[in-house]
Amino acid sequence: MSDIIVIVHEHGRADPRAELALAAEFAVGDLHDALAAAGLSVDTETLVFIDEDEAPLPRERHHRVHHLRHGSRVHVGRDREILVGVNFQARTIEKRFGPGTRVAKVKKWAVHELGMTATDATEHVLQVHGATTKPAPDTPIHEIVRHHGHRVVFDLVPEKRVEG
Amino acid sequence: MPAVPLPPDRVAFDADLLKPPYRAGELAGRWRVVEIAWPAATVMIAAVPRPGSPTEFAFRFDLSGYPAVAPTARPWDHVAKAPLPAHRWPTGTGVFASVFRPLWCGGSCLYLPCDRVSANGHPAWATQHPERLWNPSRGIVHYLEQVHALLTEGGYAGARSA
Repeated sequence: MSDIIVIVHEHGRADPRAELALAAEFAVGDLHDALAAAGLSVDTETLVFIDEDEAPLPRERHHRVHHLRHGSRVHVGRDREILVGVNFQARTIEKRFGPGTRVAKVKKWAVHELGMTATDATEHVLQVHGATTKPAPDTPIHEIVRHHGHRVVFDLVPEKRVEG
Repeated sequence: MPAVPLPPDRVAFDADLLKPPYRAGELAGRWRVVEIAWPAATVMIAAVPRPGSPTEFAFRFDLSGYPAVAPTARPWDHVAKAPLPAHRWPTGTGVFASVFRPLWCGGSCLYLPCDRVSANGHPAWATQHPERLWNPSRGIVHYLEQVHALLTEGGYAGARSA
């Protein structure tokens, strides 16, 4: 079986941290060893999430991992979930997401929850509350919380046309 | 015959292609470099499916002075090795239409604050669009992310000729 390549993200750190080659079939212990070899500490408090999973991988080293695929993201940290708030006009909505959830999924949830039309949705973007940062859609939300604890608040704002 | 050393901007670009931020997008199918003819490079960037439209568009980058100097990029016909004709450009509404302007500079660049040709003469963009400005520390992914977001989230409607 050929190796798969996965990208490792460390909670609270901007941009991916490392790239790992793993056998197509492996156990949690193999993944933990590979993370440690890449310089990430894995202890009893560490949680490992795959892509946008809501639950972390089990801690048992012998547990086989079946759903990791070529190009998957592995998120390493200590937060089990992140509370996301989205402000739009006079409303604020909240939901808890797994740390590897991407901004695109948060936006999809928010526009549905707020009852936005598809057209309005394409013309709005999530901006970090109190900042000008508009994270790229593929950004995992744990990269945004590094200064905000276990939660992140967005404003859903009109996306500005580039003019001038 | 002694090997000719690569210029520093080429060395920096090659190094960035090996780093996790670029590799994450490449492995996820968001973008891929298909040709380097320094200082030019062609990058395919994925688009959401739209009737009669390609699933990715090619962009020809000029990366002279990378990463200190912002790149400039234009839609490209990778098969013909020529600028993409206007009638085959991607089109859309809102922000998308404001960035993809075939009539701007003869279609030689995108109307983006991170594009060095377009940024020239737009000092107000530093305060109007700070998140879109060229970021040398993030490198090529900063440009690629913006184009990919426009082709997948930002009002993209398909190719003009569709």
